[in-house]
Amino acid sequence: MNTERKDNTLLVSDIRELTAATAPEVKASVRKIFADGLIHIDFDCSTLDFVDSSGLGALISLQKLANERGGKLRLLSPKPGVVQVLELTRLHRVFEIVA
Amino acid sequence: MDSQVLTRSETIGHAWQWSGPCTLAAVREASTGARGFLAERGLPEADLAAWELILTEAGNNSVIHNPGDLPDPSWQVRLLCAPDRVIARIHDGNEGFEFPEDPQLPDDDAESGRGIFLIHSLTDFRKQEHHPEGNILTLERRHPPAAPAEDLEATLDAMTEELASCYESLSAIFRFTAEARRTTHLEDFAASLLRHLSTITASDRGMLRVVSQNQIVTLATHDCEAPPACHVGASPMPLEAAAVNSRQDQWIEVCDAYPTALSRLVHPFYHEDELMGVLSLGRQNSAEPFNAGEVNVVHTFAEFLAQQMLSRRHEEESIRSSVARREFELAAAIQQSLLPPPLPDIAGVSVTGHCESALSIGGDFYDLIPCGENGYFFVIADVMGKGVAASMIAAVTRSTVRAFSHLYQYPARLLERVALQTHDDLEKLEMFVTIAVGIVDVPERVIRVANAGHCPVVIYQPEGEFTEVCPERPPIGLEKNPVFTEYEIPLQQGMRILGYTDGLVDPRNQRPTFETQSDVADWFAAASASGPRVSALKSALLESLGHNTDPNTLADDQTFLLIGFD
Repeated sequence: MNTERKDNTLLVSDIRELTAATAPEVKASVRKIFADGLIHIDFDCSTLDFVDSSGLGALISLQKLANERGGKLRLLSPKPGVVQVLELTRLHRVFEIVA
Repeated sequence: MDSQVLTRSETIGHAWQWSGPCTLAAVREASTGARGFLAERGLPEADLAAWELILTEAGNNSVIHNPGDLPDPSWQVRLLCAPDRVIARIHDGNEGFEFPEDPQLPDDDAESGRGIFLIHSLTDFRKQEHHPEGNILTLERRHPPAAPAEDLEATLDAMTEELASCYESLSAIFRFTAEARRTTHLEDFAASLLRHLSTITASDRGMLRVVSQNQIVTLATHDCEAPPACHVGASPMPLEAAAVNSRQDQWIEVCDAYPTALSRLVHPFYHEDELMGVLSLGRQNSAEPFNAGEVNVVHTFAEFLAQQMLSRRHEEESIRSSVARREFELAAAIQQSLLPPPLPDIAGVSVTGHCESALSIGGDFYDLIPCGENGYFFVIADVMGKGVAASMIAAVTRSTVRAFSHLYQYPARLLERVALQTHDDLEKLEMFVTIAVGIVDVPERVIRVANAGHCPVVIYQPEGEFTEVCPERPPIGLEKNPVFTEYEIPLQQGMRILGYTDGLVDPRNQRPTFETQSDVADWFAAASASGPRVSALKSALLESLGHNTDPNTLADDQTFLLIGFD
């Protein structure tokens, strides 16, 4: 996982799987890095091949984290398979998806 | 870990088995292994992705509910790939649970509780069995038979349609950009945009409402009635109100709560933190919810519209600002043109003046009117307030004074007539004018002055004394029929007269000013003692006021006139 700070936005990228096995570590790492001055989270999904329900839970958790500071979480360039899971769980209404 | 492919007879399809420890990492290895096995059997990508997710969720469940004290904490998956379906049997050592018949999604902000829903959504059959040796979950998912050749055309059509939809979105954006430049009215542009958006997203009704002066007003509708304007945050439409209050998309789909409702999407759109409007789309003839691609198109169009609205707003503000600036410049030019030009000496009387407004235009003015060969009539006045309104009243007052030219010889009577003439208008506008007028009458060797609430008119006498004609009556505009006193001072050679406005003693001005009116009189007496020309007096006074040397702007207008008799 890579993280990069751009102004008040934390860009999280280079994640291939977001599952029950990996989500807790991703969540904990972002929470640790999400320091003062950061408001928004951009989650680059362009390399994300697989997400399960625990991964979705992690994304919701990160969205709450951003919301607490008046910011938002954006999912950037998700692959069709990931979009399908978001649609199945109706979470495409909840997250801002940037194609 | 042990992974092997078991081949059965072709009539019952192929089977695959995996067994290993009950851990999250092992579960992922099994689900990706299963995906590979099914891919070799030629299943389409949708089925491969579905089974990878089904097995991951089922495996996660086994791991999470593993009590931790099992003698054999293993996990086993068997897959049977039949011609019309895939059957999975998942065995773990847990006690198991009853697989719910109709699992529901949790709240949108819940961080768990979607696994069972996903398994249910992606499978056609589910059965949970409890055995002494453990728990067996059987899952089935039917898959379409291998696509016959003729279906390739249909697939190609579907792909073409999807591509065309994307192309249509893009081309529509370009088209609208050009259209936005051509269209004069935002309403026409919005109606066109909404119509096209409805087509692209297969919606049969739509509504676009925008925020204008803290109201949400309808800009365009597509096959539905326009609701009335409402205050932002007080929308009578529940979905719109919820969208605005939560700043999030709102949805309605056919469900128990809305058994007959059309599928609807309500999207509030923003520029930075400012609510720009609300875009609503609905499907009356289909319960199919909007998919992520369609939602993306809706968001893109809304963002595009917001940019157009901002662009229009900036353009209008720019025009308004430009027009206002031009009007302001014209008003300032007109006001300057109302000030007297350099005037010649008449019968030994020399005159000059100065008027500088705190803004480009203001409410101060002075006037110097030649009275044939007899001398000058003078006016110095200050309208309450600044800016265009004050300048307009200044112009009206100047004209009114000039309209009573037959009373120049009688300044007090002139002021009484001006007060009567202008009282009603000034009272209506809640404004007033301080004004001092006078005449230097050379043949009669006299100066007559009347003062309506204005700063004293200072008259320097060559003996070294000075007289101040102070206000005894209120300014013009407060009383309809005031009676003014007329002061008569003998005219002597070497006399100097100063009329000024209160800007010369206003401490708010960041330039040097006089502290009191007495200081003005003292300065004037001292400066006039050597008998300078009024032009020299003007230069000296301007220098004392920091004119041309202090870059600070004025907080109050500064105006004065000077008259000399030699």
